[in-house]
Amino acid sequence: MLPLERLRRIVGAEHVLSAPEETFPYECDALTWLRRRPAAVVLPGGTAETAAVVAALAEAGLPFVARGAGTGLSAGALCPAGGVVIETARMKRLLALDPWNRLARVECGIANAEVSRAAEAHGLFFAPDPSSQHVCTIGGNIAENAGGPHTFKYGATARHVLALTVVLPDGRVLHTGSPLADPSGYDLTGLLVGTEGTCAIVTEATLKLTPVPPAVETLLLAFRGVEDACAAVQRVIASGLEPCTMEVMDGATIAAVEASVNAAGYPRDAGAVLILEFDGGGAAVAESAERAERLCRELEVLACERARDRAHRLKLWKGRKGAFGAMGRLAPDLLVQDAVVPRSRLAEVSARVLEIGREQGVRLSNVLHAGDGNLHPNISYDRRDADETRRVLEACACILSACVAAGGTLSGEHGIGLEKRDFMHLVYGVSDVEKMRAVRDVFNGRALLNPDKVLPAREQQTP
Amino acid sequence: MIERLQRLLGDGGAWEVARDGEVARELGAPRALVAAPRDLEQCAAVLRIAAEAGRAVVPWGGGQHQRLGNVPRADLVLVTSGLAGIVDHDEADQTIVARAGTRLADLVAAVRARGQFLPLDPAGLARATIGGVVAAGVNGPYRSGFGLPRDLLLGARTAHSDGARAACGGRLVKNVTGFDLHRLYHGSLGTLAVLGEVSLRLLPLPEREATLALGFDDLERLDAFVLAFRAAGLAAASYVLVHGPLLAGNGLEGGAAELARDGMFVVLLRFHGTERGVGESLARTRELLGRAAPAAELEAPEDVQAPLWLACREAFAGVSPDGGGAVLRLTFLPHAGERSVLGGVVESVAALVAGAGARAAFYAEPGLGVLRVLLPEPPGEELLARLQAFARREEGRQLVVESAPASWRQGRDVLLGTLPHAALARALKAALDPAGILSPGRLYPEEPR
Repeated sequence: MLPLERLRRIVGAEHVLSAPEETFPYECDALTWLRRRPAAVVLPGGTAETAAVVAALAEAGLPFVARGAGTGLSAGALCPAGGVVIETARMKRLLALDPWNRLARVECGIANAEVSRAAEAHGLFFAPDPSSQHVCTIGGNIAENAGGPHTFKYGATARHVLALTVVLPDGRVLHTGSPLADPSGYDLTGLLVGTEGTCAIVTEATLKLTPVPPAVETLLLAFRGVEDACAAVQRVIASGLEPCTMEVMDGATIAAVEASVNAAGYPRDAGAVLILEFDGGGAAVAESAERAERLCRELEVLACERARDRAHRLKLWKGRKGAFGAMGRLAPDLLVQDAVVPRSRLAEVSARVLEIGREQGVRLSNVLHAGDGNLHPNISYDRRDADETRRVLEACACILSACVAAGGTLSGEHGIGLEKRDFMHLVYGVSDVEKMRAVRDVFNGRALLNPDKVLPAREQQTP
Repeated sequence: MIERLQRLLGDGGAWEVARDGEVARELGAPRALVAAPRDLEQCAAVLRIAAEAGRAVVPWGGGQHQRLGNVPRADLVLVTSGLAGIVDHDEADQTIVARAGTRLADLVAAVRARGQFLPLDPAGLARATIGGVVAAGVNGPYRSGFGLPRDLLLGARTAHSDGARAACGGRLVKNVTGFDLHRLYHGSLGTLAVLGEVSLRLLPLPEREATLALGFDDLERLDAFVLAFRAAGLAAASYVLVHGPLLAGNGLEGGAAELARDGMFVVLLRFHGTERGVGESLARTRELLGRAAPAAELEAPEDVQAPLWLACREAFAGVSPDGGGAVLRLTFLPHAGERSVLGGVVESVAALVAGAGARAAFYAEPGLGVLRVLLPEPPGEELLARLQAFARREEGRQLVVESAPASWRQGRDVLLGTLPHAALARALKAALDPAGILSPGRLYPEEPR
């Protein structure tokens, strides 16, 4: 039975939500077609309260899940049936900032961008930059090993987390890692990053900060189509240049962006635009940008614009930052798909993705972290239309299969969650998953914490 | 057991090793069998045979990092030399998949020949294998710029003591599909699984590489430089501090010979990038040398760069040519507010070493807060106790014996009580090494049987 009274005593009555109108906003994350209403939502105020809440739920034998800002795109924070959501919204303090050692210690509910904002005065930033960075939480970033456009140069979240405080599913508190180099023992921090909240609940983290590069050069290149843009990406990389980000948007995205409030002045006749950015020392980035521009001009580029200043750069980025929002305008629901292929197969797979969209009759556009081979096909739809939803899901299944067939995988940054759990067999064999499960069971043997996510049930492991 | 192994691997695939050989020396195991599987399936089968016989297995790549951690129980050495070779080098994607027994030197050279760059240069590079380097979790001078193998590692294939084979991650530079168990295997010193294959991301070969050597005979000036360099936010491919005499010979002639004199601490900086980018980094570094004026300075000529970095990478071999010495590793937060603590730490440790009548050379990574004390012979109990007391005096310091001969490590905990979470670690080992036969005791002490 739900130990409501005990939970109220731990966190205060105002931080336990159980009325339907209060729990309604928690029934899904940003993947809207998968929904489940939690029996209650609890908002602990720190590690100790989280541990006490978890202990109470474990004693009652109730399943539970941790949730940050709910921006996840794979239903990773979907509440287990009859379970409780532990929301981290009250745990958003910056606990310590050590600019000389380039460290930040934070509570897990702090927004990603908030960390960079605090570090900015010291010439530092937190490198992972998912699109939702203004709201998504560090705890969520750690759970998903989140990426973003700048992952190409700086790496995903795992490279930027040094130590964690976590609550284990039985309510014990564990401190992993260290701000010091080479802590002794197994790399539990590295192991836990990316386990999608199925092993432990992160409550605090020590993050590595990165010096803000002194100079940035941004190029916007327009092409006839995605194929040409991807060819330019390959060309730039083959030349040995090291951009910090390479973002491609296809024609459908450009059209949606230009029709929205985020219109960035992208050429409307272009079938694709590429945002190419270099950061580092002033001379180095100027040299790299000049060379990249020359290389791209040798290809069939329709237009090339180089940002003159910060305002101009923000304008070039405006469309990309607003791309998902612009697509979201087109219909009540937006499904942001996420898959990866070897970079060299990106053009071919992108073409196949559009074809799949046409075959299934769904409205699809594509945004690519091209440097990483990471595709985000966006599908605008109405989840109340059962037939359209079915076609959308069919298209997603086809897209994932096509990516895996091209040597790719199911997710580059959104995670497996519930959405892709039953596709895991496309990538992993039974014994691969068994080892992952064995590790999960060390932490979460009773499977009360976020059950049914990431790892397929044993009987579903073979297609 | 040898008959079963020979039936599996052929007569040449399993043998008993000499009592005075390398295996005996590195593992302190007077008698051991060796098995040389040729693929991951055989690897798993060897583990199953050992598990059934209750024998402990130590995976062995190039034998370059067997001195890390405690002395494991070792009945069977599983050499990965038969699991060698590049599986796939995808140039366009800048990734490489290699079998674990591939020599790191071969891998680095193969990648370089195609204009790409694998930033791994641990000590023992010439003989070390990629699997061994990942299992040891070590890197050399490139560590300060590019991190540990962990930061390049994209996935792995492993063999386990229940005879299972498993894969995690993949070969894509961005991938969050399933648990990243490869990050757990990294640095686990062969206690969880045998690595059969790893995939790694690569970088483009830099257009230009430059090395700046700055000799300091005054630790306060060294700290002033460390502070200024940090404040400048410059990115270096390598940033280390070595004792001058360790660099002697390597092209440091004429005025540069000053760098190698006794008592000189040399900051070695390596910059990678475009022509203009490297020039800019050099110029900006030189601008920092006002208050932090070094006693000697050299931009290494082209032909001197490689020998200098080689001497730096193999600094321990320079101190202990016969390998009989030891390396102590002290880690600390490099800055206390707007102050570099490196100089003070070096000074204190040097005084403790001298006070104990011992000799030592130093190798540090100033940006990371790592100081290695290189000893020509293992530390005496008194020195060790004094250094431990020094490490404990302030919070946020850790001291371990990184490497020492097996004879000295036998019966000790070289991690000096720094291992956390023993119960959880044992449970993880039981999950991935269900028979409990992989390098038992190397990290966490075995439970009494």
